[in-house]
Amino acid sequence: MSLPPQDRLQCDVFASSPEEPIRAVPTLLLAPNQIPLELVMLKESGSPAAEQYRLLAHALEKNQAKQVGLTIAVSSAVDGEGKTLTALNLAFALAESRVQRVLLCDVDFRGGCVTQALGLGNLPGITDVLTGQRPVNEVLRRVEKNLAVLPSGTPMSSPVGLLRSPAWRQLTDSVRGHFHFVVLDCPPLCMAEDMSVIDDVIDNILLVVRAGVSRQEMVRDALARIVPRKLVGFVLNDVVDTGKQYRSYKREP
Amino acid sequence: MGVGLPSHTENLRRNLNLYLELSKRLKKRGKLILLICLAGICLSAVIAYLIPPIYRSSTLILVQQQRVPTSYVQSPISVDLGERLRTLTTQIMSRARLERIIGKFELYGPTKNPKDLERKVERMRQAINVQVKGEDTFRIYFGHRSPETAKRATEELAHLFIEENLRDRAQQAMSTSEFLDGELDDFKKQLEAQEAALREYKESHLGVLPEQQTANLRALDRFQSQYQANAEALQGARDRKAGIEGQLSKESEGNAVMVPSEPQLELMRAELADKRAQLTDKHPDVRMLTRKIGEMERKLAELRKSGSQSESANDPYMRSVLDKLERVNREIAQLESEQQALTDNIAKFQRRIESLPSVEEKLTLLTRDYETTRANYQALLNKKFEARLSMNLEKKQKDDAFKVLDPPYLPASPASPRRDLIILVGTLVSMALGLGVAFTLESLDTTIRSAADLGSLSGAPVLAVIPHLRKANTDETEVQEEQATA
Repeated sequence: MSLPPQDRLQCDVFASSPEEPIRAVPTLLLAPNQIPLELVMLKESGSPAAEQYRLLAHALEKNQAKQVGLTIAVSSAVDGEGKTLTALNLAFALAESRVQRVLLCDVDFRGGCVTQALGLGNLPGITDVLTGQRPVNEVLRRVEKNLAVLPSGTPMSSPVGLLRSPAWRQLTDSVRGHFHFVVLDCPPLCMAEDMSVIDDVIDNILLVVRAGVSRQEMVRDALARIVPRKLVGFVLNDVVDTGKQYRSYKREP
Repeated sequence: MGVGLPSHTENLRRNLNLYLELSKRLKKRGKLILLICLAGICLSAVIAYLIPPIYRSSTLILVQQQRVPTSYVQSPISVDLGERLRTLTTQIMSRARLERIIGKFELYGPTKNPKDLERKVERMRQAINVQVKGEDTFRIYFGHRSPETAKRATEELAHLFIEENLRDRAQQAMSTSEFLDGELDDFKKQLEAQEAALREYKESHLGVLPEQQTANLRALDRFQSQYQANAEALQGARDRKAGIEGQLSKESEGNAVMVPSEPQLELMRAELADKRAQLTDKHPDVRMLTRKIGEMERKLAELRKSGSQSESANDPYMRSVLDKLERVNREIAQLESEQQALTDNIAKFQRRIESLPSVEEKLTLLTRDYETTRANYQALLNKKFEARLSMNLEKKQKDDAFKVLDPPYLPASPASPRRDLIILVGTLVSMALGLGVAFTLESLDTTIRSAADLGSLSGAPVLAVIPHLRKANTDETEVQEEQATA
């Protein structure tokens, strides 16, 4: 934990224990009409999709062996399969209980779009911290009482160097010490080598597959690039015609 | 969580799921399949109706067998119907004939150029079909766009067949006859040549012929016995002469003068010659004889000059002896010349008899060849006779060789195309095609569509199945906010 002295004082998050709500962190104000409909945890929290995310969160919680810092990487084979949305929804689902602290990190430094998905445009983030331009507490944002977001920051074309720097290690260490769950929105496996570099930080990998789009060869390729025992499961996204059992369960008032 | 080995039932279930998936997916492609099917049906219908219909007319022709039994007259034509038909068909499908029919009925529209005509002829050839039905009938088929024309052209073809057949048969019979004539001529010439050779040989070997053999033998016999008799007579004459000479020498020794005469001189000369042959010239006998001859010659010369007879010549006894001697000498000479003649004759006849075997051989050869040729010639003559008979038979039978049993009819419906068949096949094919295309597309499609697909890739579970989310719309009545800020 070798943050610069001034940061330590102002970074309340890292001073408080994970059980406490996040304080003294700028809050993200989410404008409802700018949030896309796919963020079902916010928009349609009674829908079958939302239920699925809750199931997912539950499955991951059950897996949790340690107290804090369970790092879940959400990735996919190629782009456009729904990583960011899955990561977002998962983060919200994990945070729904309002008991545990969840951090959503956008680790896709080439073009992460977590903040765009929240309707907030580009915000400074991890890259700026790692290059030393911003302190961490300036970029960390609170969304819910127990949900924070670390944007990716200024896009970089080759972030592998940054990922190997000691600053990254410091950041991840401190972050994992103060959040129960860290959800990483990762770049696509087949298109970037970043994942192999940050592999030691990751506890669980979730692979997002888009029905009707992802091809078996690509998924196979992605599977080849990860450590098999860390793969906790798949998320099958965008399934058409899932059958009657997935109809929403709602009682008419 | 690694990848586990699936059990057998798992495999089965997976396969079942696979098929279910596949059928589900095919249903997805149902529209495509239906489309291809419909397109196929339409296409085949169009084809079926676009193809110009062809009407086919046909006629059945009976081949009547020869009515005079073949044991009397052999038919010169081969009886195998199939073969005959093939030949006839080839002849009828010749360009000239088909061109005529095409022209007469204007079968395929106006002709523009020779190449066009060639094509038409070919087309007509394709449209004609001749089939043997049973043992002695055959059917001619002809197809054309217009039923009327089909019928009339078939009639024409039937006529052609009948005519051609007759002409064919007549020609065959004639050519057989001509062939035989040619052969006969050859043989005749050969025969005559051999006859001449035989005659020549006989003429040139007259006397040596086998039939003259006995005569020759008898002649030889006769000559030989004559020779024998002659030899005996000669011997007798010589004996007599020796006797007379003995007398003479006795007389002359008494006279001590030998009468000089020509015969005597001759005798002495002959004696000298004998002696010389046996003894040398120095021998006393020879010398004495030579001296005596010399004396006699002188005396004879004197006598001749003087022209007077010698005294011993006046001696009647001596004269008779001398006469006798002369007679004997003459006899001997005659006998000797006869002997020579006989010897010659004997030799001649012996030669004749000896040369008999070779002449006989040669004669046998010539005769045998001649006989063979004659036999062949005779056989050929017989054949020619038969051929002429059958040719006449053909002429008489002319009118009934081919008979039309079933005249060409006017076809009511087209023989081709089989429209129903085309459409049926088209439907089946397009269905199969549709299924095939759909199946191929599905097999090639490796996108993941369900949790099962993922299951086959890895043993890791599918933790969530997110349904398709509608895109953002302006209707926000369903939004439930939990925009909590604690």
